[in-house]
Amino acid sequence: MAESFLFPTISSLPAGYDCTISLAPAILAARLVSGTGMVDIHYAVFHEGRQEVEETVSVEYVQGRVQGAAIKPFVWRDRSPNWAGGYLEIAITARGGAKIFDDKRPVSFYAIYSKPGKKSFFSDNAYKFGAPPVIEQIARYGRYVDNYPMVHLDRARDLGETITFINPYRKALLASIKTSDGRILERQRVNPMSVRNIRLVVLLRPDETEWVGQIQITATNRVVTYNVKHSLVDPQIISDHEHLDPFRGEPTHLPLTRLIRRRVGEALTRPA
Amino acid sequence: MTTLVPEKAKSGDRAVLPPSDRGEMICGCFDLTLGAYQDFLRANPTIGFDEMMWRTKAGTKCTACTLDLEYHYVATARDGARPSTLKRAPVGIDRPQVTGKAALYQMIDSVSPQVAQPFSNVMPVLTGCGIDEYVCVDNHSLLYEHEICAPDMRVELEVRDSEGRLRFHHDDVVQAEKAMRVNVSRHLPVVNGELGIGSVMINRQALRAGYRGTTRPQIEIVAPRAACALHSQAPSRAQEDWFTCLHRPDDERVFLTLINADDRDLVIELAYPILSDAHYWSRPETHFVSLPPRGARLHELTLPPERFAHLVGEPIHVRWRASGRYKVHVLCATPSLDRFSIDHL
Repeated sequence: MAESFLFPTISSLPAGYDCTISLAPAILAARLVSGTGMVDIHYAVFHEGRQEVEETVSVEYVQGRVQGAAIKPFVWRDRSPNWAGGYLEIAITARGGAKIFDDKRPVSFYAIYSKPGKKSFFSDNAYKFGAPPVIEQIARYGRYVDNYPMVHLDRARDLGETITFINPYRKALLASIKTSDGRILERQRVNPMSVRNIRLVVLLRPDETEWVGQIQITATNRVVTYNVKHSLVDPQIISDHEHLDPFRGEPTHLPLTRLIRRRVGEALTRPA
Repeated sequence: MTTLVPEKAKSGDRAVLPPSDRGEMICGCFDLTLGAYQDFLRANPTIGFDEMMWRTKAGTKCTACTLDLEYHYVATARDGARPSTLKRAPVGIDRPQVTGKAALYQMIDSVSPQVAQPFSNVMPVLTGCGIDEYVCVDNHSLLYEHEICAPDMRVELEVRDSEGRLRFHHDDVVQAEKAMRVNVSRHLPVVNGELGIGSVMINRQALRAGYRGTTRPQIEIVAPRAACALHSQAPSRAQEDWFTCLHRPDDERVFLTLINADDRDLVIELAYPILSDAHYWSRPETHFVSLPPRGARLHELTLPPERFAHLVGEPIHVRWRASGRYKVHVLCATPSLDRFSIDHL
């Protein structure tokens, strides 16, 4: 069944970096049922409850090819030090509500974060809502819980980490961070359409130089979460920026008959 | 009486409650009140979330109410159906009516014995340049409350060098509330201290039926001045895919890690730079990378400065094509290779 829009997605806009979104034309073309249609890409930047920027880029496809000029990249220039972190919401719709997309799944892409004198890093966009693992989790457990198993804090090696909470909704929320060995950061308020960064160095006890472990976060509403690995001394030197993973509600087992069908399908579709 | 907070939720810290009065509008676009929505859910106790949206239209226009719909979808008490028994419907894909073939499969599956899904992921292993790489599988309970946890997981690691030769094999069972962390880079040779590559295949199976919890494997790459981490994924059979980066030769080095997950030779065709601007249709440079069975290669994205100086700071698209089972990741490093990030493609 064709659709007229894709689910909107969220990308982080951390302080200290420019952000470039450059969609390869073929990625959008692959989602058009007939390869033809007028697509509007809406970009909106939010910061501390306010929309700061709004921009729409229109692209016409005919038989899988972009007509006229290619897709113009969206570029966000760093506003630090007057920027506590914001986010970018991207909505992709069909002009006039035409049903041209194969389904509502978002297009996956990497936002590119760069700044002269620093290496880039990439981060994928997150569903604003409708992510199948989250739906499964809420149906299964009735709670919203993300986990991240590779936190590594080290004063000697300058390894620091931050959890970025992005609340793209109109309700404030409270988030908590728990570690696998019982450390807790509770009731961290994230205002509507805002970002809150929680530096994990506060989990280190004064006599500790290193901590490696897992964290789980929970919140009173859905929240978009990223783990940012950065210099402990200068958090604006970021090495890595990754989404967390929902506590999974998908089953570990499946019917034998379905597994056999899957194997047969793989064998039949394998290239000669 | 409607239960406003899911049975397992902690009610004390909910900041703003979703609509709670039966007459309150939950979806203004389609005039759906909370009471009507709850009645609909009770009349259709096993309906999937997406099918609900499809049938009521709620949440399909401005989408502002989707979280409230999700909340009450879980919270609304339904006779004979607890949340954990609800059918799953992949959101974003409207489920068609069950046809004859699908109905037949459902019937066969319903009487079939359950077997453990074999999960098989592959990741690059980096060596040299002072790098240590770890594979980590955690099996912790939901919020460490010792109530909901994945079953014990058998985990098998196969570390191979760039030519596909097996260098290390590790078998383990990650029990509930335990974690596994294995240094995999130490089992691969380092040549002149230079950046090198191998691969690790991570196979896992649950020892009894349950849910996956936190057991998705991750790798951590610890370089001299920074660390990065990434969850693992299964190999792909995509015949073509794309990646976009900026051309910044003074500030970084960008590598693709290419892993052949099959037992036969593989050739991956890489084409770049493909541009976003008026030169979009210009001819890119093409590179063919040959991988032996189970082998791995590093390919650094480089452009001759005499031809591509005008692209510095610009986005460039990279396209690859292959026919087989493989996995591609991107590494972005400082010029001195002391800070890395890794992402799957």
